[in-house]
Amino acid sequence: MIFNTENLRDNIKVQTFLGNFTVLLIYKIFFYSPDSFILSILNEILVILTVVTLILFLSDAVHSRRINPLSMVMNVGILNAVIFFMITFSGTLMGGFSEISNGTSGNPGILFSLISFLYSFVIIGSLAYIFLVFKELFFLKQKKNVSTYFNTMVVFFMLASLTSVLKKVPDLGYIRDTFFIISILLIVINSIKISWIAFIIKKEKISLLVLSVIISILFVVNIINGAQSDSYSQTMIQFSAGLNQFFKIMMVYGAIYFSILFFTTLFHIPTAEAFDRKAQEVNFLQYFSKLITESLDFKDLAETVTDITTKVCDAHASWIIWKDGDDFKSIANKNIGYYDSNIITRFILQNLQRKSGEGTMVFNLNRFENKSQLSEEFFNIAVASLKAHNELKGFLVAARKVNLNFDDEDTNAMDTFSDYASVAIENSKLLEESIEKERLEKELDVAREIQRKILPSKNPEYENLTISSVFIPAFEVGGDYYDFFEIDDNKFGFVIADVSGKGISAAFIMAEVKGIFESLSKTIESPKEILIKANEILERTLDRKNFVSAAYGVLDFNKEVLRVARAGHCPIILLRNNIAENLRPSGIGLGLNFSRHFADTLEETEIKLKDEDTIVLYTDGITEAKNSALEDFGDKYFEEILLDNYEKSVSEISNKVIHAVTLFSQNNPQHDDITLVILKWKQKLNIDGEKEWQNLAPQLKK
Amino acid sequence: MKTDKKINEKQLVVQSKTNNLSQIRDFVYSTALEVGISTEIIDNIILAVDEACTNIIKHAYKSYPEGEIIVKLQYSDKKFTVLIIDYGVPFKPETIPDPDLQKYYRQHRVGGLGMYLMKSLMDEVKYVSIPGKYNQVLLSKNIGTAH
Amino acid sequence: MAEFSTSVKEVGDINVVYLKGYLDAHTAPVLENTLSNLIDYKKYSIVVNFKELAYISSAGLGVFMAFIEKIRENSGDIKLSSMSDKVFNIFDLLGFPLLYEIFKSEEEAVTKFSETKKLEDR
Repeated sequence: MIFNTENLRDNIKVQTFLGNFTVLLIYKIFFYSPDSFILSILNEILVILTVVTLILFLSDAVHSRRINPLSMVMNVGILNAVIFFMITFSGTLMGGFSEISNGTSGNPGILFSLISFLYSFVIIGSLAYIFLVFKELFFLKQKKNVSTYFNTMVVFFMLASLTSVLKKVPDLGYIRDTFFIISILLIVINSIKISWIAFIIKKEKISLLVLSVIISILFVVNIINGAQSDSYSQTMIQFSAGLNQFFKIMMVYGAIYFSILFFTTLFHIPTAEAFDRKAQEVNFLQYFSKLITESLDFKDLAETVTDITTKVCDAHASWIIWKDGDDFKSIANKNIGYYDSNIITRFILQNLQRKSGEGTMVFNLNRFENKSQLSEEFFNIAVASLKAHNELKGFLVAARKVNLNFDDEDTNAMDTFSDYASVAIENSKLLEESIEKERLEKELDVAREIQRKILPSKNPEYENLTISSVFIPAFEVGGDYYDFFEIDDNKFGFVIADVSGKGISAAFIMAEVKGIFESLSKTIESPKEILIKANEILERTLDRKNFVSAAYGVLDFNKEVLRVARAGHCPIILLRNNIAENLRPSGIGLGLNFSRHFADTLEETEIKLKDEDTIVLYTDGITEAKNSALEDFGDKYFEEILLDNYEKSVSEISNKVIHAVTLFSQNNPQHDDITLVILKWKQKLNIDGEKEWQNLAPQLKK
Repeated sequence: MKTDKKINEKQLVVQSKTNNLSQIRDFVYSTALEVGISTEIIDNIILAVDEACTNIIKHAYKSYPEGEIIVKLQYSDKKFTVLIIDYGVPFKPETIPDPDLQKYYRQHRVGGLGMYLMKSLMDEVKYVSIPGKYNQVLLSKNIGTAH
Repeated sequence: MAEFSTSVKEVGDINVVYLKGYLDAHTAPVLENTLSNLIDYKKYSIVVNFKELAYISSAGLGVFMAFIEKIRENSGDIKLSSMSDKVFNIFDLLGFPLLYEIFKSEEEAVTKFSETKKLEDR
């Protein structure tokens, strides 16, 4: 077995006490006789040793429990009551026993001694505990080291008790009396400064006030009772004169201490509330600042703010009037219905102008004409504004159901608290926004990545077809898609599409559209059929809000023809002989109509290609690019630029267009993807440098 | 600061029985129609109100049929607000998570969809409980034009 | 007073349940009854026709959740059909299309059942 020192010490204390107790018991029953002076002295010494060891044994238990002063006082009261009954009924108890033992037993002494021993021992126990409580209370919340005062007093207690054995020597009685009086003086001195009262809350102070009256009266009663009750004083004196003296000292101590306690408490009552409030405020602010770092959820925070507001300024209800655009709405209602809070909110907003001042404003609802509409009666309200970066965010409101004005202390508390709350609320809002922003940015990153992977990484190269493509993504992915399909040696397919919507959802649809066109282009030749089939496939997956505009074309190198079909997309521009022709075969966007109507209205155009024919595919990101006056770039301007440059190479043309668009919209952010694909047909030259008119298969350069 | 908005009010008081749900819906429907809200939005509002009242009947009053449900409508040209008051047992709407249908499927669970519907269909859903007094659910829908 | 009623038509092995009127917490027990009757008679292939249903709340949606597992354990299914946009939107909002097959018309739903049957018979 391992003992730690603590245990060991406890053990020693218990053993010393029990040893003493046993010795005293045996001594009392078998040896003690009050007539012998020597035995009396021995008796006193044994009693004192027992009391001291008991106190030492108990002191750890009392000290370590860290109970609050009020419950210690309560215990003293209870023990006092026990002592009171012991004294009051001592005659019946002791007298009865002595008669019984006298009458029935041949050996009256032992039983009687045993009874009186137990009786006295209950008193000893009670006194020991009371003493320890006094000691605890004495040292409680003392800032200076005052143990010398207390120890001196204890020394005099012991001297006073010990010298009481001299009562049989009449001439020396004054020694006992002197020590006794000095003890009382020390008690008075040591009881005057009771510092712990300031640190308990108002409710406790009031209970303490009542308790201290009762207890101090009990102490006085016990002193008188103890002196008057013959059976008691006889039993006690017979047991130990010193103990009797100690009892008196403790009773006097109690009477004095609790009387002083009563008055001290009484003087503390007026300031109790202020202390309470400050303590509470500090507590709440601490709790609140902890909360700010823990909970960043706006709603939670708002609810905590109103919850604490009701407590900090002693209100029945609280809510926040939150500015939502032009509107104000009540949130985080605490102990008030929305109906009532809305009515009072309107009242506050109407009367706000009248009270223009810094800090918390106080309103009385007595003259509020709509007061009768409230489902519960409210009398007074306090309103503090919530500001962040000097911008009004809303108001914090506290309301009382009793006709008691919010005073300076309340409004001060609310000022402090609303400042805190403003900062916290603003932080949580900012955080919420930045989380949302980050989420959106992540999402956009993914969308851009999808788009980047979907679009062709390079343009195919043919001997008699030059291709350029430019794609400029908008910040939010706009859903533009274009692609090229090298169907076979003689056929080249291309598609341009614009998915409605933006961001990740548009990117997903783009990916799907790519899959559809990639597979359809391999099996179906006719652009019209491809678009009809694509529409059918999209019916299954596209939800009702989305649609896709697209144009699909196939270029046949052998036949030198271009076939295009269009589903709600921008026209395809054919530049030929310095004229821009808009090819507009009819067709509705993919995903808008799933009936036969779609196929019925879809047309396909076929064009016989000539040398230098230039085909321009684009999305509305170009024509609807806006300048600072919010004017569109427009079809006209677009065509002008195309015609001005149409003899140049495809990449030069597209550079000119993009340059113009960029210049035009330089003061306005790009709001949609821009896609521009230009194809230029070059008739194959024969050896003589003349155009070759036969249908020759084009050579793939690959 | 706009404080002098005209706000109209109407009120219906019914007992907490499920057969009163249709009456509540009709009340909200006809009032919202008068206000000039599109039927599509009205359908959403009455479903949300139905869900809130069903919750009150089943959970706040625990199907006790003689509780009182007060439905107050407040409407301006910008906002249509339904305030539903009951005197039953309070509940904590925040503790009800959004439903996971797959999980419900496995657990044979049925409830919890209502709260999610309310949140999805309305612009604002708030709940306050005043212990020992009453509970209020506030549902509101912005009806003004986009400008 | 809004009313709700159900009627059942047998199409071979398949039972078509027609819903009519307003399905809310008050009328949900009517549907519960109808479905549990079908289950009692071991009719596990059910098509629900929503064509005449004017309104549904989550209490009504819950009825389908309550029976679906039992039905599927018995290799049956509840297929939903002919919903108005308004009713479909509510189903959609709660993610029901992940759990239930929803068809435009009753015929499509019935056909799906027979196709599945044929597949199983093979």
